[in-house]
Amino acid sequence: MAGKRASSTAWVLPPLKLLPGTAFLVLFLVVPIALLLVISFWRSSFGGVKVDWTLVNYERLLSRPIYLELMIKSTRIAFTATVLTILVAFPFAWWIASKPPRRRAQLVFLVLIPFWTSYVVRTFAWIPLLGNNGVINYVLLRLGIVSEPLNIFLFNQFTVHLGLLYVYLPYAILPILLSLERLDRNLVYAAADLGATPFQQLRRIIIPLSMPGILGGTILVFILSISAYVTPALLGGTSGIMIANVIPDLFGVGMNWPLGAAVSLLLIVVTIAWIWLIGSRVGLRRIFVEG
Amino acid sequence: MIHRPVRFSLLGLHAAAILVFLYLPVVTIAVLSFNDSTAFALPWQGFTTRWYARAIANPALLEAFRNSVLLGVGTGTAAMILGTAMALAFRVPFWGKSLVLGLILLPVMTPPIVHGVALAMFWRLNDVPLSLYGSAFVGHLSFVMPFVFLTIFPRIHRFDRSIEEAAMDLGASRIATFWRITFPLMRPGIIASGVLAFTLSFDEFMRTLFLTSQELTLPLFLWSMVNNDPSPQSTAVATLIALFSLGCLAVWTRFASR
Amino acid sequence: MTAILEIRGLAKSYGEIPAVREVSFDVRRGEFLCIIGSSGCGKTTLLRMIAGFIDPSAGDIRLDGVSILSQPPYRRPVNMVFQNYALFPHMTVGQNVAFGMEMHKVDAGERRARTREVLEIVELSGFEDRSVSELSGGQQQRVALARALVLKPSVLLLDEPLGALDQKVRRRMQVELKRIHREVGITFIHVTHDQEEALAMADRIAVMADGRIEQLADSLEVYSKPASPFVAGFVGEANRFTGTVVSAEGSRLVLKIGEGLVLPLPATTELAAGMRVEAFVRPEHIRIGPAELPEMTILAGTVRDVVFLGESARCYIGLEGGVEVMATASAESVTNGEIPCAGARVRFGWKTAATIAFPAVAR
Repeated sequence: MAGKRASSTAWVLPPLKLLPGTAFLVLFLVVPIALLLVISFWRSSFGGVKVDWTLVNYERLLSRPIYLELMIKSTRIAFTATVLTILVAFPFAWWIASKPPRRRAQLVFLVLIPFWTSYVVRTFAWIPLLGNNGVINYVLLRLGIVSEPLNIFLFNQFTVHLGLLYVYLPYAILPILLSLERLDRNLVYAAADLGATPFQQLRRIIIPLSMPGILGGTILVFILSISAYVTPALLGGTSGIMIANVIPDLFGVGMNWPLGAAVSLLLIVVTIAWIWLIGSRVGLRRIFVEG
Repeated sequence: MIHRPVRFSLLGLHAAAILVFLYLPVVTIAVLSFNDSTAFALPWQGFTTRWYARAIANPALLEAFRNSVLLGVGTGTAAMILGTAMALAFRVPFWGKSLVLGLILLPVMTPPIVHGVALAMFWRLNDVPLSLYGSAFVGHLSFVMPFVFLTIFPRIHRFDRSIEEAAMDLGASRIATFWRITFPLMRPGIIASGVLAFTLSFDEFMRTLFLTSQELTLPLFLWSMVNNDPSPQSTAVATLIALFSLGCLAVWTRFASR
Repeated sequence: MTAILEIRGLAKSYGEIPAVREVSFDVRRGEFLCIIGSSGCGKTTLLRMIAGFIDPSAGDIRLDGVSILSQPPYRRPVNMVFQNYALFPHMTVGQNVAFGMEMHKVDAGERRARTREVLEIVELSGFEDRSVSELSGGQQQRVALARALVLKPSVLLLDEPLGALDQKVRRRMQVELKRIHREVGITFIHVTHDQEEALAMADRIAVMADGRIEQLADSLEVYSKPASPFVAGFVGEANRFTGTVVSAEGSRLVLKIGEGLVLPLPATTELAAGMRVEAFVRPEHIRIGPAELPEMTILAGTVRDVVFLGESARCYIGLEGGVEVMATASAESVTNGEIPCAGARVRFGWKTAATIAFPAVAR
C-alpha cells in the first residue's frame, strides 16, 4: 500500500467525488446517533421529549436491574454465539478455500441461497423443527431414544444461540474465506516441508495469516448478535429475551424516548468496547479493507 | 490440505453437516408451504397449494413485495453510484483518509436497531413523517453503501493504472478514459456490488421497522404475518421470495459477462 | 560413489495427462544435480514428488536405501527452497530460519546458535531481527536457503530459486550457491529452465522433456555429446539442420538439405543412407573467413546481421534456401575487422567432426 507519506498528503484536499457519500453518511448516521446521545440526557414528556438536561435516564438504567442484567446477559449470549459461529465457520471456509476457484464461487452461492429466504421466516422455521411436535422430536420418538417429546430445544437460550449461529454464519464465513483465499499456498507447503504437522501448519501459519478475516468476522457477528431482536423474540421464549427486545417498546407504546436512547447508548458502548478490543490487535483498516 | 486422507474426510464431513444445517430450515419452509394445515407446523395434514394461491391473491402481500423491489432497486442504484464514486476517490492519498474510511465503516459497526431508532428520532424531531421512499430509503442507503464500497474497493485498488495512462497517452480525455477504459473493467465488480446492495435492502428488517408507518416492505409484512397469523402462508411467501431471488441471480449471471 | 537418492519408475499422471513418465535415476551423494527442461516438462512435478507434496501414480523413491513414499513432507529429511521463497511474512528473518528447528523440537539456545551459523554461511549475519518485507529479492532468497539448510537435510531441493532475480544478482547467486554447496557438503537437486545456469553450476545435468529424462550426464558430456536432438537444441546454442542422408564420392555420407546444400557427416557417424536426420553445429565452432583445413565443412552465404554482445559477437549468415546460421566470434575479431559487415558474401565453415547428427524424431 502507499507508504507513510502522511506529511506530504496532509495538504491534499479530499476529492470532490467523496462529497455526496460522505455528506450522506454524516447527515443520516452520525447526526442521528449524536442526537440519540443528546436525547438520553433530556427528559421524557408527553408525546416526545423536553429539552431538560438530566441524568435521570441513566439513573434508571443503572438502578433498575432489568436493563443491566439484560445487557450483561446479551453480552454473554453474543459472546458465546460469536465464538461458536467462528469455530463453525473457519473449517467450512477452509474447505471452500481448498477447492478450485470455480467450485468456490458455486459453494459461496450455495451458502448464500438460504440468505434469500426471508430472515424472519427462516428464523421462525426453527419452531416446527425444534418444537414438541417438531421434526427433531419426531425422529427421536421414532427411533425410540425418548418416550416423550423433549421440550428443551425451543424457547430458551439454547434456541437463541442456535438461531444466531444460523442467521449469522455467512457473515463469518465470507470474511474468513476472503482472507484464506489471499493466503499463499506455498507458505503452507514450506511449513510442511520444514517439519510442521498439519496441526502446526494451522496454528503457526494458516490462522495467524488469516487473522484479519477471522477478526472481521468476529466483530460483525458480535455486533449483530448482541443487538439481535428477531431471533430472541421468536425463539427465546421468556428466558431468551435480549436487550434489543426492550428498546422498541420505549420508542413506541412505552413512550420513554430518553430512556430508550440511554439503553441504545449502552448497547453502543458495549459494541465499541468489543470493536476496540478486537480491532486493536490488528488495525481495523487491515480487517475490512485488506483482510 | 497437506496429505493425510483422514483429515480431508473430517473437513468434508464438517462441511456437509454445515450445509445440511443451513438448508434444514429452508427445506422445512418449502415442505410446510404445501401442508394442508392452518398452522406453520407439523403434523403433516396433506398436500395443498392453497397457501400459494392465497399468497398470490393477497393484495397487501403483493404491495409489500412491490415496495421491497422498488426500494431495493432504488437503494441498489444509489448505493452503486455513491459507493463507486467513493471507491474511486480513494485511489489517491488525501488528508483525512482514515477519517473517511472510519465513517464508511460506521454503518457496519452500528447495531441495526440503534441505527433504526436513531434515524427515527432524527425524522421525528425534525417533524418529517415516515415514508417508504423517504425515511426508509435513506435508512437503507446509509446501511448498504459501505458494503458496496467494500466490494468495489479491492478491485479498484488492484486496478492497473498504466492502462489508463496508456489511454491518455493515446489521446483520451479523463472522462473518455473513465467511460471507455476504467468503467468497463470495473463493471463486473460494480454490478456485483449492486446485486449485493439489492439483496441487503430486500431482506432488511430491523431498521425498516422504525422507518415506515403504513407502507410495509416484505420483511415487515412477514413479521406481522408470523406474529399474528402463523399459517403456512408465510412459508409459501418465503419460498416464493427465495425462488424470486434465485431467478434474479440466474438472470444476472446470464447477462453479466465477467 | 554411493547413491543417496534412488528414483525407480517414478510416474505421475493427472487423469489422462502424464506429467512424469516412468523416470528412473540415481542421485549421487554430495553432488550438485541440475534438472533442466522447458516449462511443462515435468521437472517441478518430479521435484515436488521427492519433497512429498505430490503423490506419485507409480514408482518408488528411496533415500539411503529406504523408501520414503509413505512419509508425509514434514517427516522426510528432505527440504525445499521455493521459487517465490515462501518466507513467512508474519515472522522475522530469525524466526523464519528457526521455524524448522522449532518444529523438530530443538531447544531455544541451540536454535539461536544454529541460526547465527547458517546466516553467516549465506552472508546475512546480523539479520535475525529484520522483517522479511524489508529484504531485497537476493536477500530473501538467501533466507529461504538458510531456512532449509539449517535443518541439515539429506537432500536439498531447489525449485528455480533464481528465477525472480535480475541478471547480475543471478550470476552472483549462482556462484554463491556453488560455494555454499561445497562448504556444506549436502546433495543439491536444482530445477531450472535456464540451461546456461545448469551448465555453470551442475556436477551432472538431467535434461527432461515431455515427462522423460533425455540425458543424465556431467555438463561437458551433455554439451558436447548430447544424447538426443532435444538435448542438442536445448542445451547451449546450436544451429539446426534437417535433411536426408545420401552417399557421395565413395563411402562418404553427406546430408542433403534442400537444393544445393550439402553437409558432410563425420566419419564416425552411425547413420545410413536414406535416413531423415537432424544435425546440429554449435556457433562457436564456426570460423568465418578463408582459412581452410582438412576435414572441414565449407559453406558460402551472405551476412544478414552482426550483433555485438560486449564480450562476443553474433554473426547471422543467410544461406540458399532460407536457412540461417549463427556463428559466434570474439569481440576482438569484430574490432580487428575480421568479421564482414551485413550484406557481404562470406565463406565459413567448421570441422566436420563437430557436427552432431541424429536420426530425426517424429515430434
